[in-house]
Amino acid sequence: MSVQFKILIGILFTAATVIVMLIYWAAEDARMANYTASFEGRAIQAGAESYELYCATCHGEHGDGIVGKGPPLNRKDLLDLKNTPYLKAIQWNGTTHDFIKNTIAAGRPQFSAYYANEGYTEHMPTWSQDYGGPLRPDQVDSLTAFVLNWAPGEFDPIVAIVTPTPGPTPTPIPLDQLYATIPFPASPPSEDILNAGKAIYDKNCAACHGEGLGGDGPGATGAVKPRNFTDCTAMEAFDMGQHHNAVVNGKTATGMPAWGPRLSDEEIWQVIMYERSPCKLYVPQ
Amino acid sequence: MGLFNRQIKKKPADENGKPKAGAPADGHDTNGHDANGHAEDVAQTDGDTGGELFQVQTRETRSQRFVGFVREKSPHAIKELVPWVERARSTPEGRTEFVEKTKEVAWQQADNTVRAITAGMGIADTRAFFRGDPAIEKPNPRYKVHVNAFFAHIRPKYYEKSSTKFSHTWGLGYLSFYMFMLETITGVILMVFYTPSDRRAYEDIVKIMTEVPFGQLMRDLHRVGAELMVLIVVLHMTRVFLTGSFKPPRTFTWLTGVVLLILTFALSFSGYLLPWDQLAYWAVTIGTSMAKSVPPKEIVGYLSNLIMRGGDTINQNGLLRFYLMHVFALPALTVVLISVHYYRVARTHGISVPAGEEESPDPAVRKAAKERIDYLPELFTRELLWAAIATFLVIAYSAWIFHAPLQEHSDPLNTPLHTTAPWYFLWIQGLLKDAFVLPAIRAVDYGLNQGLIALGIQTAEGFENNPMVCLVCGYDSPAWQGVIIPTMIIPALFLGVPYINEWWEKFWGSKPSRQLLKNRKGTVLVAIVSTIFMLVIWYQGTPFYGVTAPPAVEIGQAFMPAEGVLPPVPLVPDDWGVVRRLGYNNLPDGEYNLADYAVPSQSNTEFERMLSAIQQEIQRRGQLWAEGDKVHGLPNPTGTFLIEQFQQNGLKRIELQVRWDPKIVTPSDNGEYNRIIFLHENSLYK
Repeated sequence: MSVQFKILIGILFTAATVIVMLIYWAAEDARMANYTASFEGRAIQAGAESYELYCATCHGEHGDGIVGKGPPLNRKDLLDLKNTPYLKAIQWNGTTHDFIKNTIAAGRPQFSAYYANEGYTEHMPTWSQDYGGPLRPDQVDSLTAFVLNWAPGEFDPIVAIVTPTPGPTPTPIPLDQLYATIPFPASPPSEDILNAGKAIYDKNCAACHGEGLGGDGPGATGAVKPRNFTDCTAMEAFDMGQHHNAVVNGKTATGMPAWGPRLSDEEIWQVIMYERSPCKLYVPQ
Repeated sequence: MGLFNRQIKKKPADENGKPKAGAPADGHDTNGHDANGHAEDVAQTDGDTGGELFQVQTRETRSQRFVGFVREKSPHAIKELVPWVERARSTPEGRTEFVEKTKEVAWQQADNTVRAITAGMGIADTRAFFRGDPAIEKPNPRYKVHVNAFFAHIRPKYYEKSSTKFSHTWGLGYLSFYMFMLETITGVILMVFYTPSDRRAYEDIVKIMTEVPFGQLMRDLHRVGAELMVLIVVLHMTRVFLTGSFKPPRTFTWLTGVVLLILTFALSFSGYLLPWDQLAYWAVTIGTSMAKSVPPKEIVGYLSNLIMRGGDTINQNGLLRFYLMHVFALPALTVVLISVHYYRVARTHGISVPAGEEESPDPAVRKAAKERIDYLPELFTRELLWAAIATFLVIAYSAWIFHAPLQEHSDPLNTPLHTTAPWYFLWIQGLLKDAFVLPAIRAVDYGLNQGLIALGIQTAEGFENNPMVCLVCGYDSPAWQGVIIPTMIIPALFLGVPYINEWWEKFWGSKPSRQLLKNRKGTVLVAIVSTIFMLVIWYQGTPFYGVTAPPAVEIGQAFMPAEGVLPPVPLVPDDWGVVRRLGYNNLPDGEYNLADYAVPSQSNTEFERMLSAIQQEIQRRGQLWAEGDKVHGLPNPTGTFLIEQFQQNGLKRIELQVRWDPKIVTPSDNGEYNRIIFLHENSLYK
């Protein structure tokens, strides 16, 4: 074989390789999409195997629940990923995927108030090896994928779902009486009180309400944004009574905890004063 | 700047500024070591004293200043043209001369540039090189390349002609190095996307296949390359044996080759674990379980197992260890060994010429065999051609035919049925089944015991338990079959070959010869016997030999295996069974009594034909039972095939129920077996 002939054939093969790569490239996006779907499907299959083995005894063969043992999973209120009525009712701020995954992984240490009328005899145990259960992390993931693959409402819930009854709403205290309970001169508050308030705020509140009081802390991930204390128009409509009530009792629908049991009265007032300082909406003189 | 000008600046010029006609190019000019010339030249050009510098500004015209500036600052090539510029301005002939001179200088410039790039070959010779013409300068500029360029210096200047015949070498040594490079390149790319963690490894492989463009191709190429590398290295070794090239002076090269074979196995095997799927986990568990049996077990076996796996079983520690072996320690060792191996081939003794020609009685043949063939361009272009063909073949094969297997996530609690080692280790798995030594020892035991019983020393009841005559009791099968014999095979079959051969020659007093059937009958006999033995134990390593799962389980495994089944041969993709291949859309819901499908007809759908195949397999098991095969047969087996829509969003539950007469096979046998798989609409198993 002459050198020129070898070079020619070599170039032809190189060109053929390039053509193969181009053809492959043209089909690559579609292939990746197919494979993504395929591996999601395989995860669901693996989840189905785990479900039959571990979950079906309590939650029913088709996720339709067993009375007295386990609630149904294959339900509209849980698997309605858009409106998430169940998650709202139990005040879960994350996604349905995270809720299911965390519940499988860590179990339920106490009975859900949602199913108070069920009379279950057993707690949901922890399933992930991370929490002492038998399943590997990838098995928890595939089980989650399997549960999420149910068409919502494929089976009607066989137990009635109860919505938790809200506790008695505290009657608002008249502002005059409220002002009288402030344990320090507050019109306007002294610099020391604001500093003390800032210290408490930075420790307890800044994670959600933001270091600069802007309602933009890293913990502000829920659907309802935390209050922005620098927005003075909104703050004017938010009087001291509402503010005090929100801090002491929390706001159950939004993830704002009740601070009444955790902070002293004086600390609560210090925080309120600090939070109202950007708009200077203190006790009227 | 000086790089391209070296040759020009040193050309001696006569008084007219014309270079001396035909001044030979000094060989040293081009090799880049003569940097001082530059400095001298510059010193001559502007070597005037400082006194004259005063007058430059005032006395010179603008054009003179320009010429002076050009003289001072321009490259030597331009400087050389300056006298011709002046001549061109004064006479018409000067213009023609100027053009000619410019061409000459430009050519020289280009030529020097090419010489710098090719490490010694000028334009004319580069052209001749690609045309396949002989070298046109003397001394041969293509040899100069071997002195000047790093990569070419690794290669010899020329080979002996017969040693490069394709039918002699089959290019196998080159191809194994090609595969090593392919593995390195694809491996480094895969490393970017991989984390050696038991939590992330499998997920990362899935991501490589689903989210990385060309990720699957890289993985397939890496796998194809690995299997081919083992195959080619083994073939290369076979070729070296057959052509007698292991004999002196090449014995040490053969030894390094044996080490490279072991390294190739180790590289391939350590990479086996990294996908962290069931296949990886259990194949490597089998492979490393042999380490446990290294005698003395309590110390060496225990420690080597602990060191390899990083624990009693393979876990995160073991994965990290295998990863580091695979990407760092073993490749580094392999590079060193390849260097030694190649250096000896290239510099010490060359590739052997065919034995028939080397030992020919005809001096003309012997002389012709040793005729020189230059590496550049003959062999270089041949190697490039092979690389191009090999690249095309592996890429086309991985793109369309072969896909690297990926089973389910590894599960230490669940061993898949018929787990095997990789194909190149099946022979060890075959040894572990112990088909020869154990029966022999048992036979001896049996004979001794029968003798003792006949003599009345021992009762028939004490048969198995008498340590005095129980040789089996002292026989550690995994240690012998998994460790001692395989480690002895390596030195005996490979390391020992040159020495067995030499000894054989001395023993018979025969004249040493490299020809296969001439005075080498001993080694050839050993080789044939060993090859047959290796093939037998390789076969014994496959699931076809000596493994009996219960028959109903085998029926389920045949049609709906738990994992993809890897054939015991290289370069064949895994198979997930006919049910999954048929696919979600071709499996209609319902309950099918398989007895209704006993006879397939032409009009049947593919699904119905599959049911017929299952029914025929069930009937075959019944037939076997009727014929008295109690191991593989089942009494009156029947089958039901159930397909249920398990979730509306594309998930089916597929169940094969096999029923047979209970309490016949064993007293506790309940006579039923169910194999259940789930199949999602989007899952691809083809």
